[in-house]
Amino acid sequence: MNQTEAELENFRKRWQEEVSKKKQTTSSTTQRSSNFDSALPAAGPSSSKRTATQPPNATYRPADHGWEDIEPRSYHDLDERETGRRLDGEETEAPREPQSALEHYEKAVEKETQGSLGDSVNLYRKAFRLDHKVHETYKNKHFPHVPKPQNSNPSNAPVTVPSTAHHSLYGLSASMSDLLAEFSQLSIQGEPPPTDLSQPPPCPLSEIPEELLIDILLHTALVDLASFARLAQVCKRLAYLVLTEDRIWKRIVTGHEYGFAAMRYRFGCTIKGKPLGDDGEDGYVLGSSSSDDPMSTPATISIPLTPAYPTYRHLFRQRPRIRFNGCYISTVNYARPGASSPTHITWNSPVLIVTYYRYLRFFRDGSVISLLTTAEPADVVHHLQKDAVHKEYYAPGLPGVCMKDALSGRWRLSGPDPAFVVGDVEAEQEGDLHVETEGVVPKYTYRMQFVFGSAGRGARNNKLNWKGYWSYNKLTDDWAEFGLKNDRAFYWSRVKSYGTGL
Amino acid sequence: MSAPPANITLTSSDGVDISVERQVAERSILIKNLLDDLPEEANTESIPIPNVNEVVLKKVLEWCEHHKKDPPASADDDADSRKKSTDIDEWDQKFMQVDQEMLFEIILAANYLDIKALLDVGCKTVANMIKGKTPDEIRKTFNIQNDFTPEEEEQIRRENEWAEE
Repeated sequence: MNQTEAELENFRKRWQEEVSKKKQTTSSTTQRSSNFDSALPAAGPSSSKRTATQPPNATYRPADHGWEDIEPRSYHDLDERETGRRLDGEETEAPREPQSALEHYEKAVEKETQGSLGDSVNLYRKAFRLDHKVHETYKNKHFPHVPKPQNSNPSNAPVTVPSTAHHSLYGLSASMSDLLAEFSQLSIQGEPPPTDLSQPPPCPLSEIPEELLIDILLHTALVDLASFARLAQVCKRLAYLVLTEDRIWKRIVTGHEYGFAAMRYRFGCTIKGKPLGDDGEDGYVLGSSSSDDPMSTPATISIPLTPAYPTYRHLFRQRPRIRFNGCYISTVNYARPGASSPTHITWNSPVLIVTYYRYLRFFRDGSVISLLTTAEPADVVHHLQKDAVHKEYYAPGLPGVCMKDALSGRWRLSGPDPAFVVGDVEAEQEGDLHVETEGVVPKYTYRMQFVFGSAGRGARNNKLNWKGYWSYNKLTDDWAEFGLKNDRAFYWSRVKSYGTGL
Repeated sequence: MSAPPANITLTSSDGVDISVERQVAERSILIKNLLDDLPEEANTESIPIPNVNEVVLKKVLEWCEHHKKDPPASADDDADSRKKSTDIDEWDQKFMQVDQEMLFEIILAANYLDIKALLDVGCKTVANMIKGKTPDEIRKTFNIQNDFTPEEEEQIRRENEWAEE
């Protein structure tokens, strides 16, 4: 009894939060609200279908549309696409027809990020017809306006710490440190017993010693980093451990699963993905071949903490890092005037909307696949496999055909190579990514240079901004630069089927 | 019960004697070191294991029996051995299909008896129980009370948002 009661209470709380968050109740939820006598003043009028709002619709839309056009392109489009593909996101619902205005709007945003502007406009139109303030609802839901705690403490600023007791809380904002300091002495609380007389349900996790708990957390982090991070939301004790336990973060940072042991600061292979030195194309063979062998994991590297990265958690988040559990996608979308027929007088001049995608998938052995295609991410990402590059035959119509134009290449990060801390090489500025790929015809190689950027609310280094794109003519020894007028930055998208790329 | 010196006796916390092959018992570094330190003739005496009860001890020994042929874990490579795959072999997976209390008892016993490989399997099993769950599901799974205020929970969520990848 008690439990259902509690659950009900819980649900009610969540419900109320939700309601207060997006004052605008959407039509799909109004039936449920009748179960609760909580006051929902805004619910009535706004949720009823606005049949009379057609004209204001037209006046609102262009402006709001403009807002969306700018925001998701440079900032959030990854989120949407990602949840669509992941199937485990909290916001993802089973694929079904959008019902409420908000759902229409979300769908429209999704379509827009995919580049199908026609569908997207239709959906936006429907959404605004249902609720002319839907863009605000959307904004509240997806980008709640909250001061980000971490922003108050820029990564490079020296951190002043009130007392040494807080020293493990470096890199967190003051309010977060205070909160965590409060949590530090707490232990995991088991569920209270369902009735007064019964035993409390067993909660063995709360009884094991801390070293073992940390062991378990570490294993969780290695299995799935996102799950590890989510543990912080379970209870105060776990929040404290997840956010401050540098032993775990250090292992993540120095490990090869996600960390910097897998980063390459020198090319790991030739452009065609062969081991270095095989064809004499690359002048040098690196001294210790063991660390270049893609199969051998580099020896445990030591990464010292610097003032820029006061904790390992910080370092892991801030330091430029290539991700292997997904691919980087650049969506290029531009319009150009189409040709109108000279013999007809038309009211409108046709416009061509050109959409194409660039894909980059990085591999741990230092190779990379680069693909320029018009095929949409959903059709491409699962085929970005090394054995699909340069296949003999691509059957037209088969799913993998989009890989026909894939080019193989290699990548490296700029910066000092931790495996070769020899003093003779001058330390390179960290933060750039160099990619070299084959050309479309054999006499060229392409060279791309990116700088890491960040997109989205909290994520770092999930975006690759173009710095330059060149072609090199091997025969004439010439460099030529490609114009990047329409090209957009790459955004990282997680692809579940890649696993961790191990 | 073959040659007596090959067998040793362990006494669980609840006073039950369990006879076990020495090789099996030596999967536990604690017992191994103990036996190495003891003079030969003392091996006939039973070894008290005060922290582990009979049921758990038997379960642990079952694991040791199955893994007695494994190469012994070297003492210093704990960081390295953990680097290896996060998979659990099939037999171990089956072995770990026990209720949660038992699972944690095994982890505690493995820790006490210093059986690194078993401890790792146990931790991985728990890690797999956590994997892919929402905070709420995790609380349900482990009967953990949510001691956050909604504001605190939201703050923590935001702080960790970036790692949701």
